[in-house]
Amino acid sequence: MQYKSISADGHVNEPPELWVKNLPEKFRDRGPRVIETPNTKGHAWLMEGQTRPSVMGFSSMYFRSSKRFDRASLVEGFKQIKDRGVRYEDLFPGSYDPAARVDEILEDSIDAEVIFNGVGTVWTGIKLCPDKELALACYRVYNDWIADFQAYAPERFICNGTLPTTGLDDAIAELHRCAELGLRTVQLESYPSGSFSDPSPEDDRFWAAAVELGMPINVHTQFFFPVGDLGSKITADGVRAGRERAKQRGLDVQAGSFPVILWRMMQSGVFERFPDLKFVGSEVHTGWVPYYLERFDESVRRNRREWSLPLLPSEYFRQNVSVVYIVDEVGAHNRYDIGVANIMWGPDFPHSSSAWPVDYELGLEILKRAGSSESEIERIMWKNAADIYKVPYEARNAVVVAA
Amino acid sequence: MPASNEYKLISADSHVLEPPTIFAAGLPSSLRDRAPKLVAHDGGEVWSVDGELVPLPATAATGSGWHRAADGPPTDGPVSWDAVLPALYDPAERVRAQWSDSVDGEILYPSTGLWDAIKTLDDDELKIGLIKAYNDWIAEFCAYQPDRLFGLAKLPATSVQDAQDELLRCVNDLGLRGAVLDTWPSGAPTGGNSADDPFWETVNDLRVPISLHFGVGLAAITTPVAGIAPGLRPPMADALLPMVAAGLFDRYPDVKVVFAHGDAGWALHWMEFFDINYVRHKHLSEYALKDPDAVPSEYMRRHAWFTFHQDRPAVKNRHRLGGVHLLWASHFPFDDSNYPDNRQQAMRVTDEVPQEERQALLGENVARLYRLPGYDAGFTSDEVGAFEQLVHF
Repeated sequence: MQYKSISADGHVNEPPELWVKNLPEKFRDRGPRVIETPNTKGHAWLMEGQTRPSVMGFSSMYFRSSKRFDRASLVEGFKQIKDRGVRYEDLFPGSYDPAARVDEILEDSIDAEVIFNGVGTVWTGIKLCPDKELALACYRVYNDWIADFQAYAPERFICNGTLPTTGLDDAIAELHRCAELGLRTVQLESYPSGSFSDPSPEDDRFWAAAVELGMPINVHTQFFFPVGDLGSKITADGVRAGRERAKQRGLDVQAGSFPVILWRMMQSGVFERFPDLKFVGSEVHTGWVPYYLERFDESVRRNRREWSLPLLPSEYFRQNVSVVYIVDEVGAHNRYDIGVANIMWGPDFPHSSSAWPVDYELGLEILKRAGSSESEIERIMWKNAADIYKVPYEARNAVVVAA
Repeated sequence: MPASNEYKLISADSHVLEPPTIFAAGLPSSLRDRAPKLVAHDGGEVWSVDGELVPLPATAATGSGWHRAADGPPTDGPVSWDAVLPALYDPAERVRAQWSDSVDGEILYPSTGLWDAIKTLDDDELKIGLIKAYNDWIAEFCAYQPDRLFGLAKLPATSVQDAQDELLRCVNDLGLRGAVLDTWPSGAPTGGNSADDPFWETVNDLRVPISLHFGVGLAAITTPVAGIAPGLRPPMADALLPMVAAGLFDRYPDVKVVFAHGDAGWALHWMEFFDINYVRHKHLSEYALKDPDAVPSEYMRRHAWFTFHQDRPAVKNRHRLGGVHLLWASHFPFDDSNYPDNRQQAMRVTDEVPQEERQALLGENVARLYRLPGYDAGFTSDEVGAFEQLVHF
């Protein structure tokens, strides 16, 4: 049976005892574990070297809605955890149990899903960990587990390995190991060298390995600097406070954002040297792309002597880059200035931005409202993802395609 | 519209360059030593602002980076004052330059780097003196041909009262049609702070547009990015949500904010996400809109105007942004200007737009916004609110 929907962006929440059970004996007491915070009785991750626990945020959970954007249900759910923190019992079990996950995505008419790590939470501690050997062991435990998760239903799950930020050789070695584990893509949490802000020529060894292995490289949203929550999207004050905290630590918040990463990748010629590299920005949305490329191309035409590459930025974008959105009506209307082949739908389930269980319905509706043809809808809703992640269009007989 | 004065193309964002003689004359003798002056430096001239060296705009001699690049690799050395285009400080030359560029009028902004240095000076009296000297000069400059030269007032941020007083003086006495803020008058770190309310009340009464230019705030840079770079959201954009969230536009419904030299192609996507977050996560928000049925982008699009240059995405999406809210700008004499071919650029960037709408983008909108001669009526409320809904859930 043929697919009709592949979400290019979904998440797990890592099992609470994953590292306690699976780290090598010598690291077991020092790795990530889930604690209960004293005041709100919520769950939080903590590991050696971390002074402030990373609480399970509101965004890690979702509430069952009976209809689209049922705000009453969201508010009700929020009230339940407002005065007590989020606990693992609040999450959908498919966050860590692949059998439950299959049921959950089928309820939303999603046939298959590209799956990322939990973002923030446990990863804050792992990235901050001063002991590189311990940190690397943590990445490896996760990758073993996510490969097992995928193996439960490889026709339905395209899981990202998470690459270490501990250095270039570690990143390359783990990339190879992920490929051996059967993972079809990996997510970068920093440039391959481990820098959160700057690419380096040595990174080419990594890009070469990715092309050789045929592994698309994902950046989920941005390279998150391990400074804790950089600010809620919801209030201007939250964003400002986050920037202020980052400034105090001497970090340029913009440097890790996907548009800036893309700028540096393009300008340093990575896509010229590696025309077959597939570079995916997940949950970065699409509506910003036309103006980004318009000005980029124009600035290159006007300063031709200072641009030593043969192609324009928009041409490298079309050649190498894909962008994934949750809901983005401006992007849908402007799809020809982005590239229909460069856009993938991915509703971010089970995070709170998702509209589960009506993500698929909403995804179709937005594309139709923007006047998309059936073949464009097919490209954006699944076929681009199938091509990039090398998923055969016809799923094996064992797979029951969602109704 | 008088027959003698048909505007086909007006730049909503062009710049002058302050002649060095204007500053000392307006200051009390005790402060004259601290006025900006041109000093020789490395084969050219630079401003000395109380000891801080500030280069002249890199394209002051060419009027655009286009010709600078076409003439050979850019030189990084300082521009010499003798090489500066006289059109940047002499009104008769400016009008000739407008003819060369086939532009029928310009909204004139001050230079940027110079004032970024001035705003950090520690002496309020000095800062106010320099600003008044500039405003007197730009008013006189524009008087040379008042139907083609439209200067904006520079406002002090030494106190809210100072900003109000200078705005009243510039509008009522000097006849200027708008003003530009480089810092919030109260010294608040963000827009929408209630400490600035008396200023906005004056703006609301006077009904003149207030511009931000690329960045706003004491530490903000107001010089746009030059050279090779993608189109990103300009830093001044961060001012808008706090203004909406603070209810500023509910209290002062006639306030109009012009986002200058930042284009608009970034704005719709950015606004869509404010709407999505507001609709979905209202219960988490620390702000509520007075109109219970409104979303943030409606306030933003009603009260914001955007200048644009090479920005086809904004032109293409004009129905979503609101057709009256887009103002073509030449950016003369900055890096991204196409002087003396700005008319060609303007026609190229709007070449898919039907004639009537194109005329609005290229001249009529800015003429109506600033109530230029022959366009005194301004906009109707329906025109200002005519834009397509961004989010359909």
